[in-house]
Amino acid sequence: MIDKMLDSKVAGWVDDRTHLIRYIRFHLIDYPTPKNLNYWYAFGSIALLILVLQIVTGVFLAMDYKPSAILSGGGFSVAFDSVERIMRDVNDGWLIRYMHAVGASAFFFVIYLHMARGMYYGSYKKPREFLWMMGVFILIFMQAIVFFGYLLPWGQMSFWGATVITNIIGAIPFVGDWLLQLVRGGFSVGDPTLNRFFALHFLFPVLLGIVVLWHVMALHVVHSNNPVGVEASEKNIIPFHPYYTVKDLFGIGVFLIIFCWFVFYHPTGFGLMIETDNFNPANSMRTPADISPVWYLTPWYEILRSVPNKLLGIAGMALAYVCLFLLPWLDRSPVRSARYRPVYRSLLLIFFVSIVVLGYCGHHPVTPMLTVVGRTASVIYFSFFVLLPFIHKFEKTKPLPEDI
Amino acid sequence: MKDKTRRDFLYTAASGAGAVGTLAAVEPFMRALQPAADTLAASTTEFNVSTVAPGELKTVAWRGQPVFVLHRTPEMLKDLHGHDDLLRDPMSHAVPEVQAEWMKTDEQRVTRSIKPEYLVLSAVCTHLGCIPGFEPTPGQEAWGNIVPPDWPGGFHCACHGSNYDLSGRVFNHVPAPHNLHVVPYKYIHDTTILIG
Repeated sequence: MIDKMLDSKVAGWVDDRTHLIRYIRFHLIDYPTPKNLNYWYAFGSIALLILVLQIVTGVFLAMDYKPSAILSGGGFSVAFDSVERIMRDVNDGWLIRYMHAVGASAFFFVIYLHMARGMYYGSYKKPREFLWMMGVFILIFMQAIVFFGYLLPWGQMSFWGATVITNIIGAIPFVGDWLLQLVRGGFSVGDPTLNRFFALHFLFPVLLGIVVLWHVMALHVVHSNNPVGVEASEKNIIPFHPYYTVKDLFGIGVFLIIFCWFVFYHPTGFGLMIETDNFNPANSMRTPADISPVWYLTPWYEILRSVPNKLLGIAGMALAYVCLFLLPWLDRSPVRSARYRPVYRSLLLIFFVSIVVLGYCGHHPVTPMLTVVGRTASVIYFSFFVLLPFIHKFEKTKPLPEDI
Repeated sequence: MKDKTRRDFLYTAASGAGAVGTLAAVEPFMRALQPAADTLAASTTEFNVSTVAPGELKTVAWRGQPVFVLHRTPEMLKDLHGHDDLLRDPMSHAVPEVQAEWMKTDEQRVTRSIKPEYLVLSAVCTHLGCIPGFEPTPGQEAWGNIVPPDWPGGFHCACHGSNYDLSGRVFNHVPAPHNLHVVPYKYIHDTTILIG
């Protein structure tokens, strides 16, 4: 049926004038893929679906949301009230808001798995270095977007989270204070901050969409890696459609079941996706007892917190990202997949555990015990990147197959 | 079942289920575009008609749109008769919006109000939604030749030149298609109406 549509006269007429049909064929139908891709390879398509869902739900929320910290008649703020109005009065507003909030968490969950997949199968190696770097850029971009978005409900966590994180900017030498005022539009987080964050929360996803499209187009130039990590021969290459369209759609189905379970039964994600304190309106005179970022930001936050010096903490967090960017050059082994690299495989799994531990620590209030655990995990995080340039010298890799 | 038939069946069933699911997912978004509960709740307006002096026109806001409340004098009510040939729909039959349940007698179809002296009508021109001006004086004295020579007094919409008489009935040969719409209202007290 799809073939019939793409071969029709109308499609031909459009294609002669725009090349649209051949883009569709190139990217969604004929795209040659190795036949051994497992379900770890579905997370790219799932992430794309979430991006679309976030943009659609976000546009609908923006129709009823009001970015104003001005006090409302009820004594809260116009922004907080407008979110509550979405939850109570707007038809199905609760559903759209919860889809958006759970969608943000789902996006990070899926992207973290997508990246872990790339690291495990060595997908960042030549010729896919730039693809990997774009991916890290997308992650940082997403973190900026959720940071802007989390301020919008103007709850206690919105306000104090933004206060703490923007203060990080203030620690930058020489230009910090100037930059801080530039971001906040005032001496503290306030109405001007809320207005500009709303504008940026709208703009950045559009830019993200463009970068994501570029990411997909770049993938289709260098082609997908595979779990074995060796180039597939001609006879083991299959077209994307129908083989992976169907496989990805099945993966999307499984994802949507889990997604809906959260949206309908646990929309706040047990206080992880929408923190309980954020149902209290922002109060600039009272800090909540325990401020922590949403779960997907906690590993990076914990690295920042582990360093007992404000400026060095920020530098540590920045370095954590820089290490990810440099991954394709830090790893010098010619073998891609961790399946054939026992040492890399063990180190990588320890690295993954360190990120989970960092996330756990970052989510909880500081205790002497957690400080030690957090610092240890930070050291493990960076040790991975420090060891990476050397392990190929002594690592005895398993014999690689000729073909997939 | 043969393999081919079986595959076709599965293909159709799966895409069908997918299409139904997608349509179901569109529904909440369509609902979200409809007016919200609080917007609908704010859709009634109370007004005391005794505050309008005889011959005076007041404009009341209802659902964010103006509603005319005109206190007609006995002469004004008398003048409603005798110019039916100038009107497109003198007995308000054309569409449901120009009628109301309480319009039972011919006289009510002419006065177009529950209590004849108090005319309550939508102030939105049925052409493209401007608010017509009010001029009760008959003839061209007040408005000149923008109204016809035998002008009985009424409403004139300056946007595109539509004319209505003092019952909001539209004239022939103007762009507006229908009489001014009747808004839903009732008397909840001797002189207090509830619009909506």
